[in-house]
Amino acid sequence: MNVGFEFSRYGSDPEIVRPEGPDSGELPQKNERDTGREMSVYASDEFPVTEILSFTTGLRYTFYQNIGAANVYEYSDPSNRTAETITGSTSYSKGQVIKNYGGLEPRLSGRVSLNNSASIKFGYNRMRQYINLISNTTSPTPVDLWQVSNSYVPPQTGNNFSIGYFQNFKENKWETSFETFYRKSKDLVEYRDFATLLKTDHLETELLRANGRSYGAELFIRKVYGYWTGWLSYTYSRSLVKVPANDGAPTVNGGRWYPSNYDKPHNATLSASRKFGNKSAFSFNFIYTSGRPTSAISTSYLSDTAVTPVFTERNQQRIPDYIRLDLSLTIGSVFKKLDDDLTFAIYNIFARKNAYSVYYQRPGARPLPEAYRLSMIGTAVPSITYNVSF
Amino acid sequence: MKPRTIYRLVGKGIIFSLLVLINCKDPINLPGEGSIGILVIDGKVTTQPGPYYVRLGYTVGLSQKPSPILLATVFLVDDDTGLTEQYLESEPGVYSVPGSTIQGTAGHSYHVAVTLPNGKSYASKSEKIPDATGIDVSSYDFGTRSDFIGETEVQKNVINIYTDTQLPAGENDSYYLRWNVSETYVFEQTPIPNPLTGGIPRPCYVDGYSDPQRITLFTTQNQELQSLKHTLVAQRDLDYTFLARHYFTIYLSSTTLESYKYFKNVNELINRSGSIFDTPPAPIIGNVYSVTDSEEKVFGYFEATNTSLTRFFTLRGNIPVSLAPYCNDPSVGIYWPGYPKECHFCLGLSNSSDVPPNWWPTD
Repeated sequence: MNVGFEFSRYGSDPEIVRPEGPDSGELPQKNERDTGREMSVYASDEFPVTEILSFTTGLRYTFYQNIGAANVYEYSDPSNRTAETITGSTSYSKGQVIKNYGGLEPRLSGRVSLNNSASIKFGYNRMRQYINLISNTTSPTPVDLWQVSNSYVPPQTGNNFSIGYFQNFKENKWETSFETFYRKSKDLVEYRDFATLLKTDHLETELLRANGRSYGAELFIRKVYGYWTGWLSYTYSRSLVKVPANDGAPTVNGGRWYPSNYDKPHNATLSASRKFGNKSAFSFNFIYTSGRPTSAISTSYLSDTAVTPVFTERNQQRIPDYIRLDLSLTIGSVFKKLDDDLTFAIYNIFARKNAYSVYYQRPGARPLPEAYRLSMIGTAVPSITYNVSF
Repeated sequence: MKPRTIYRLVGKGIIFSLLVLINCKDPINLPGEGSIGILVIDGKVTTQPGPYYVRLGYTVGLSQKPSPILLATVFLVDDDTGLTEQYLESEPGVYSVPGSTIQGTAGHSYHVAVTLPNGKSYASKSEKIPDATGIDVSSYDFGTRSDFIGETEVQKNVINIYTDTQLPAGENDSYYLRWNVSETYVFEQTPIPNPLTGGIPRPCYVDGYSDPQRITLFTTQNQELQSLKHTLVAQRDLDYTFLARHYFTIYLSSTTLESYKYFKNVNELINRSGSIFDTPPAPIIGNVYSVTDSEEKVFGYFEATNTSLTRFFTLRGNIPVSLAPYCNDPSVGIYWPGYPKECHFCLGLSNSSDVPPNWWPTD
């Protein structure tokens, strides 16, 4: 049996706005970020029931405290928080407890050995997470903010289920598996439409509570030895969120399910290597991933004098798919007396400008913003590497 | 060359090469789907004398004008007195009401009621005109701005229009202000004498908006200011329209909080800077809705504003840059065939009239 104890502290530097000189339109600003601490105890054990059936179980209890120093705003309607509905605030000194959360996290996994080369694995676990990633993916470099749980942001919890079939062939020369998973989450953090995520000391007015569900299946085939080695994997998965429509409270996409920022349904990788002689090899690596969801302009109309772009509902479009092929050729024993090799490689041989992000910007006096793609390495990159071992 | 200098140069070269590789930004076609064929209702009633306008149309595609809706029945309703006044279609998709029965009054609430030829009914939420607005004093200067021809950046000469504003001093805790600048200029046609009468063609008076995509907003919420100084409210390219008298009218509208939020969102969608401060975009919810189908999506806003205006004009002599002749170039004469067609028929210009506006001086 394994038992243990964990302690974690969450915090981040304050957000500081410094005007650039006396002509800056900005006012100095310092927004403190929330702080928290998490304590947990856990125990886990493995139970071989029979020769073919075994279980691993565990239980973890977590306890979390949101602590000061902080200034916590109060709202006339806590479920519909806006800057206009702030009624007052309470100041907490450093280390003073503001809010407590806690709960049990059970887990169970099992394995059924069907024979020497086949098995079925399954698992369940519940997780609580006291720190949330808030990601604005509509800017060129996605803005990631970490928000710890506080009076208005409860911990997110997820229940995960998985089951998979594993089979090896030809004396373990080939490994294959097929796994599926389902995850149901609650109290995820989403931001409202037109949220102001930076330069605010009441971020809770921009945040909404959401439910989530994810599911998918992965097929994996690997050749472990022989002249050709490598692996192929294909995953189909979905990640959806929903901000329930409550009375009068803001929602997203009318309270319907929509793709989360991480929803990339198709993900395929083929990686292979062919040996030549003792130390030479030719390798390639191919990656295909669906583009992540985003919002795009679909039409426009006049608001008073201004041509007004109409963006689609959140995450109803996708940035272009990610496709990349890398090649490499390794020649071993370049110099006979040395243990060396020389590798010629080309990264992204298609020179494809894979989008790191897609964002909108209004060029000059054109009436509407236009879409731009930011690609990180949007060209083929050759390289030569010489390795020598002593 | 010292080794240290060489290392620095090599280091800078590597960093520059990485930046070239990494920072690759290019335009991309990312068409959004949906939102076609959706009704748009846009209009306002103000404390200024009428006429007041409402535009009705269906969304078509990106950068295309909505397809106009003809033969609709539109009423302006004063929710306090119960008075109604019917709009008449003045041009396709544009409905106007003279304001003879209803003129926007501070403290009164208004909405529009629309019935389409297909029998569907729509309305706007009631908007109350704020009890006060600000007073502007306008000024201008000249400068340049960046623009793009294709992907090439160029500088253009502009006139900058500013206001000094005395903020509203009414009974409300907060006021929400928005500025618009419209313009009317004289368009002189090529002075070819009429062969029958010998008369010179009359000029046209052309209306438009000076900087329609600029949305200047201000709220007095949590402010203790009494006035604003030197607010830039429009920037207009200097071109042939400044060859003769060119009027600018600055409207200062005191609006509701809902209208302020709506136009703030419009502004955030238009003026996306491609920086980390851009807000996540979304469809904008206006204050118009379907009476017959609560699930139907409708775009647009009908607002009721307390509006003041100021006006000034420029003459050719005020413009500090050289303006090329447009319809009367002495170097080629009045009979040159290369003049644009509006030089011979200025009423063909959109929003033009051969009758000056009623406020135009008679000197």
